[in-house]
Amino acid sequence: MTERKFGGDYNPYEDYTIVFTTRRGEHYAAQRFARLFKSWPPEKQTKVAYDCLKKGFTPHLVVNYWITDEDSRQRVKLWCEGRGIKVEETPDEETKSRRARSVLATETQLIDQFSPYLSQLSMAKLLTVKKYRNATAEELQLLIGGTYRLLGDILGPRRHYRREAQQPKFLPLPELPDELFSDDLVIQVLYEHERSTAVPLYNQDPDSLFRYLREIKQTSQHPLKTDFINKLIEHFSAAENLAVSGIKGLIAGSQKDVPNEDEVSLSEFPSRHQREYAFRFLNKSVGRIDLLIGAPRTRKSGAAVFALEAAGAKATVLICPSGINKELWKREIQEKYEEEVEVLIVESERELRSLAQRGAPLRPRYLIMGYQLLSRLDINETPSMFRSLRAKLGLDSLLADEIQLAKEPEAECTKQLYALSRELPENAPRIAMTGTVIINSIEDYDAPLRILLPYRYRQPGDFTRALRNDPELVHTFLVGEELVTRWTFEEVFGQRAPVEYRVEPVPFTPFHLSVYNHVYLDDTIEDQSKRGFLRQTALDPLLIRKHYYPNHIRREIEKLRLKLGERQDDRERKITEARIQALEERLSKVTTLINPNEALSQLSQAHDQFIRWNLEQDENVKFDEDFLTRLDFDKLALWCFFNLQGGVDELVRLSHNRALQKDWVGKGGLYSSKYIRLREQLDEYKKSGDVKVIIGSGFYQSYVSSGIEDVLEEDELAFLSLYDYLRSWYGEAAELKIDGKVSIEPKAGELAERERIRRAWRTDPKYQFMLTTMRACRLGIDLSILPIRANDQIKKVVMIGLDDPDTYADKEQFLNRVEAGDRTLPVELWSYRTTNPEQPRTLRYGFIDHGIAQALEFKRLLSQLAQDGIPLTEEEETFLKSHLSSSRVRIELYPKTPLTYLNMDFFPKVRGKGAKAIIKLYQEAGFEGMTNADFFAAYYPQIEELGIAGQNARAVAEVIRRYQALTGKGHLRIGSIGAGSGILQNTLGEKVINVDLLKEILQVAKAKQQVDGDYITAEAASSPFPAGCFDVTDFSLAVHWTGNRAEYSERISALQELNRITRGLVTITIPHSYLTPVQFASWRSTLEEYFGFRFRDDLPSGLLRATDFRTEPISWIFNMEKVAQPKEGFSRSSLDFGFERVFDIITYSRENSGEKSISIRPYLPHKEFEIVDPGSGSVHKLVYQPTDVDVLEKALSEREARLTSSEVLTLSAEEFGTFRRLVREVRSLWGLKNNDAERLSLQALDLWLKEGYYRHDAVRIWSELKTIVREIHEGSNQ
Amino acid sequence: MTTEQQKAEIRMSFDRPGAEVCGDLAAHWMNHTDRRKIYKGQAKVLGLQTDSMVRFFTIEEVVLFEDSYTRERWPRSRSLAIASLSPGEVISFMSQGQHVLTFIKTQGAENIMFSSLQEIDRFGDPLRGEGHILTTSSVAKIVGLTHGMRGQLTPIHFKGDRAFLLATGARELSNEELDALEKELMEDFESLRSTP
Repeated sequence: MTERKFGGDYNPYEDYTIVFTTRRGEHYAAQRFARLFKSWPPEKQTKVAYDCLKKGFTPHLVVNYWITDEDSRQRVKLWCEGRGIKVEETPDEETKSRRARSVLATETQLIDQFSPYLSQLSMAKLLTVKKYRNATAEELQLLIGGTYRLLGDILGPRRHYRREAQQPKFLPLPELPDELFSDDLVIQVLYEHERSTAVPLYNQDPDSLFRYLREIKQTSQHPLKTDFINKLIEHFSAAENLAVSGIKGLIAGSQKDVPNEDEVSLSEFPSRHQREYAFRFLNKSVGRIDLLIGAPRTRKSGAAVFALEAAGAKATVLICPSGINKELWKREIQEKYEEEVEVLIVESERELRSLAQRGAPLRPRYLIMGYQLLSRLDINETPSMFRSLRAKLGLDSLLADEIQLAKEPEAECTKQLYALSRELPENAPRIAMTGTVIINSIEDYDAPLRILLPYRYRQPGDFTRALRNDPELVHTFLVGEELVTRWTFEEVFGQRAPVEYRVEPVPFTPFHLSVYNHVYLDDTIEDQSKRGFLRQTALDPLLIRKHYYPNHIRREIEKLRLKLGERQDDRERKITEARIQALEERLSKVTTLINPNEALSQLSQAHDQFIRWNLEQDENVKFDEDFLTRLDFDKLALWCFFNLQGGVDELVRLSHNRALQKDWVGKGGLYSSKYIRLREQLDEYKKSGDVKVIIGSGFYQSYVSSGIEDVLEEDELAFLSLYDYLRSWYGEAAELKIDGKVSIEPKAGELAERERIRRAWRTDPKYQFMLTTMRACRLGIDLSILPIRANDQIKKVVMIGLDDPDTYADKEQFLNRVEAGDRTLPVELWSYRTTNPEQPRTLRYGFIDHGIAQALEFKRLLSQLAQDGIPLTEEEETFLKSHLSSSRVRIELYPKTPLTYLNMDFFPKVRGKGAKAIIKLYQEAGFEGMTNADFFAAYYPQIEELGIAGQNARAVAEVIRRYQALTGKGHLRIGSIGAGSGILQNTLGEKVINVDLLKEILQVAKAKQQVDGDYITAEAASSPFPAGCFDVTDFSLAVHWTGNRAEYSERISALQELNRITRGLVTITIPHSYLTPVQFASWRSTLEEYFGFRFRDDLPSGLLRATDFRTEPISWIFNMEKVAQPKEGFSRSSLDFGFERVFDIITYSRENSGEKSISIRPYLPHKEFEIVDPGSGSVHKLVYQPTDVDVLEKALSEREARLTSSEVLTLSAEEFGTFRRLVREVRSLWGLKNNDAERLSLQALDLWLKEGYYRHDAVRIWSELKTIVREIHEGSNQ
Repeated sequence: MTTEQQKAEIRMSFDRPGAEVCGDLAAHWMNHTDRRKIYKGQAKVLGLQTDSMVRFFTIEEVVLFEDSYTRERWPRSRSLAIASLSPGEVISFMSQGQHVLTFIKTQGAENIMFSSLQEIDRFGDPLRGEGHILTTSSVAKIVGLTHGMRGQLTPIHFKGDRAFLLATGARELSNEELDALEKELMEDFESLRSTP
């Protein structure tokens, strides 16, 4: 950003930024500037308009009044649309569509023709490049975004949006207008579309693709069209002929594990899609980089190896997940080369260092490292180490597998991988791969793309910023720049043997349901744990029993009490206390489910009922926990389950009633409804013997402290896990298990345990069942059944998911483990969902399994919407805002506004951080690529006057005037520390010495000064003033920016400095929500006792509130006189703020702001204030007397004078919405003209704001407003 | 449960005098002509099928519009449209040009308006405390009903209790239902083939 100049020989008409930055002369300058603007040629108008819009000029003004050329206007409008800038009032659906049609009127024929074939995005690209071919690349991105949205307005993106990916179709090339093919850019769009459509066909049946292309070539007469088709034919022919020496033609591929070599059926390498991938990789306009997002098992690794080889790479560094994957990769690579190639696996930091220092005896073709190793390195040393590694080994290319592991920008491995990529030359080939869609949010693309383009996106967030935080542009950007390649399994391999998806409702057994309901209704579980508890309970009640077992709860409480004794801050202490309270409550609930003395008598009552039931109703009924639950002894069963080590069995043992003991069957620890259902299903498969079953679950072994061998020895609550059950049901020999406990490290000369199990599973039909955790059974593990003779008897593969994982990616990964390009066995995928034993064949909802399934679908949909650039519905936005507590999601999905950036990013980062951190932050890039300093200086003054700072300054000004009257001094020398844009000076109407950290904001202050002031850049803790130089020092709304750390408290220094530089009054104000009354008292006593200040009774301190219009708290105000020197010996924490409390308030109000209420920012011109002393409760009134040149008065009178819609844009969104609605209402009621209607509505809104309440029922607001409008209208008519 | 059975269940639930239906549907209900008198009832759970998910609410309050009142107040518009529906069908009307309100038909032109719903569940996780309140006009908004548009109720189970799912367009079928439907069709097909 250019440095701004003020005063001197500066001519404002040369630099249009001045119009924005000087508020005082804004209106005048804008008019003059507009005249200048209109005299320019259209190109310059467009260019300057972009600049003006970026700087926050009113878009309505710029676009509709300043630009004289119609074409340029449309282009700028579209550009605004792409950036999400609203040019006029928000049009309703109908006008939106009408407008879109009029803008795209010349293209309607094209739209009709293409819409069946092209995706909305391709169409937007086509229309944009056709119309705006002279635009720069950056502009083009935004223009495409704009056209995309316009098209959405016509086509209705959501109505036509299918949840499945849009299947591309070949264009009807012969029918397309010939002139289209004379434009290079249009050809480029069409070509990219046709190419991606042709890939699946090419891969499955190249002959038919070539036949198709030759046929349409014959029917297309026009030479340009023929050229176009020739180019396509050439692309695929060249891909077909792409050959690289040294690569094997036939490989075993996924059949590497086949023990008998005769049985291996070799497959072609590279296959066609791999070949086409490599060819495209070599010829990309963006360079030889690619982010390959392919479904699991679509032969990505082969494609990457081949592409790198084709790109001439000689030594590639390969990063992959640690453990088994490194060995698998080595095997993968080696089988693809004719001659043996050197593949070096680096296991430890020591090995890496020695390689960097001494090199390797044989230059490796591949150097394999794990992400874990990267994470362990020191980022300060690695750049030089990587540099020497590159020099020693000649590394010239990068391949990163499972790149989603490096998507967190702060993660060590991400930083290291970036550093590594940065050490390679700019044009080195780089490929990153992932098996799952990595997008949960837009920012997930940031790190992978930075690793691929390290010279283009240097800082974290650069890529995201390049997208301007606009999700709708993501897809445009990625696909438009050919950064990403996507493969689905179907695209690559076509139709496979069938896959059947089945949802299996598993009815809860009565006792299992009773435990579930107990947990569901339990208020003592923390919010974030509740879901986990419910999921575990739904799988097996034993998994959560530990949390209800009294001895365990008591031990937990003891532990927490011990923790309380340690040093903790207030917040931690509060949390610990709350946890102890919750656990005590849980303990008392669990122990008093029934009166323990009555347990035995209740049991014998139940037994009596059982005998009767057995005789009268059903002789097959079992006397077990389910029976107890059914007969209203559910509390007894629960009590036993939670309180007794052996459950009801133990109570039965204690009863000494022989008959009862004989009748009692019990569930013997098998409480899980899912396990019972699973056993039924597995029994069938065991009988048939021709099915292989993979059972996956996230939790089956949580909290199992010991296996079957030492059950009940180590831990009193140990129980059998599912694996134990499987072994006891089907014998040791038939089952395999892969989970976190199965080692991935190979022993000397032997395979790793997990690898051994994996191979046994693929080749040995004896192993019919395999149990895995969803976590272990992900990432690169091939569990497909090999087509060998031994497996001939296997007819089907069944995968049973006992519970759904947290993310859709995990689920997809699990499901795809048995996929392979040559799979011939049918697959069944079962998802177990616990539900009620109600009538079958109905839709069931409400249990956690249903909820998780819904959540997965919802997440998948949102992520797909974000990627495809489909806007969210209002309801989804509301739901997201209110239900997903993470602010990250919100920020990523919605473009930031200056206000949200200020409130959600900027202020939290400066609060309590101290001058150094703030200066650093000022220099960083923030909103829309502006530095934070520029942003703050440009934006903050706009909201300052009517915001809290303005209110506060008026009150402080009045305090200073009172002090002047009390002391009888004529002229006061006033210093304002943290002066900002000089609000106090303008409010007071007297010269002030303005001190601030930020030079830029002082420049703004100087530009808008009403009286001459002095401006000095300095820190509060070390100011350049002599001692006692100020009569009055104001330290308003700035002390909360100072740091208060143990090693150095800037806050204390600043307060001591205030004492030094003042000889009279010191005024400190702090935003009202940052202190509690108790904290205020602590501050007050500390300032009085240790900082040499005396509180004046005639200038009271306390909570400052505005009282006219409506009561609004503003700040805490301290008015003190200097009487002594500061002293030492107080506690730093007595000067703390309640920031945590602020967040509580924010969260609380967010949680509770349903659709019923709207909040309105206190943009009111308050003049009457009161100061309430929280100690004595006394109230002192203050009335602000405006100065001759009062800014507020001027702003308000200007606002009244110019009641245009652009002015109303400064209202908050809710107000603006209400305003528009009111205008419409007024227009339709009395048939007024737009201007009159707006004037009337604004008057009504102002009146309502002054008389209304802070929070209100939305329906009432509307009716109140209508009444007010009616009154004004009738009044004016009379 | 087949489609016919579901339809029968909806009919059974709603082809009754409105006062009875209200008592079985909502925690509180009132007659439109006398809104000060509030009756208590048994709240049911209502699932709302939105664009991307199903959200669950307990029906806190409904308002009954009696047949005679509806016919008198909207003789040519609303009453005719409602009378032409079958019991248990849902229809939305715009009120005073702003809010779209949602009504269930019972008998004749008698109908019940959803007045207040409270969200109880978030992806299987119970919502604590106050929850999320839906006002009368929000129902139509989140389901996607506009003026004059019809919605369908489907009987479902929510945690094992009878509940209803409100959606626009076609009624939703469970996997089991689809299986059954397919089976029925195949049987029909077989019988067609076997008849000469």
